[in-house]
Amino acid sequence: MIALLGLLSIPVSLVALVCWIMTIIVAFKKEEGPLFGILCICPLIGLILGWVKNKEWDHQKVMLVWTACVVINIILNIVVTAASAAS
Amino acid sequence: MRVEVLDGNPESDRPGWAGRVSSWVRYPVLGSLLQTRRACVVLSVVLVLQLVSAGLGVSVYQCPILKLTGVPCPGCGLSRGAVAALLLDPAGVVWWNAFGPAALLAVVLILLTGLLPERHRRAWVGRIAWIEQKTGITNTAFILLWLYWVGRLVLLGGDLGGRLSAYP
Repeated sequence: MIALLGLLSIPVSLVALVCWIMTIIVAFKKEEGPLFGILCICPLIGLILGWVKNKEWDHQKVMLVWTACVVINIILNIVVTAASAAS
Repeated sequence: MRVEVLDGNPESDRPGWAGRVSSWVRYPVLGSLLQTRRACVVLSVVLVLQLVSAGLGVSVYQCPILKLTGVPCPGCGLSRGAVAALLLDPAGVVWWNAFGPAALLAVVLILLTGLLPERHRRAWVGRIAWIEQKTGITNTAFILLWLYWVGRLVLLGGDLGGRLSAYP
């Protein structure tokens, strides 16, 4: 069960990774300077900045998918940690 | 509520690259982030949960870069650094991430902004944005965090990834 949940987190992480790369690209493209693109290299800061600038960058859908992936991964982490502790 | 960029800023009026760099650095990141109460509440809940889980030694949000490559990102160790700052543990702060106290300050600011009554909240966010636009403090801290990350990667190399992967 724990292994299955671990496996489930791989495709979710990959989707999150793609969303993060898309956010970095958009940050470099849509902003005049490189500041936001460089800041987005940290995924957590990128997630926050992506939401701050989502309308300006027209990036709502990617941010929604990315956030959903992060939430699913957090839930999976909690379940796996709890299941590991119980077994 | 909309945070307007201050007019008449001598730095941003400067032509060429200096003016552009100045306007990037002076962009009010926190001021923009805290414009709506919903954003403040959501961020507060997420960040407090992250700090509590880091304090308990449970890895709830794992950095995908560190997880996939073993190389930490600039923000790795910030939660644990913030917890160490909260526990007044300077050795822990240096061990995890020296910018932990700054992260803790940001969390406290976000939390306070979420708790304030609407009228005071607007004034408070306006003040934060004004300070950011005048001093560029937030983005300067980000730039220093990135330089610190590069320095740590150069000095500690592979040890840094191992240190930040291992949970206390």
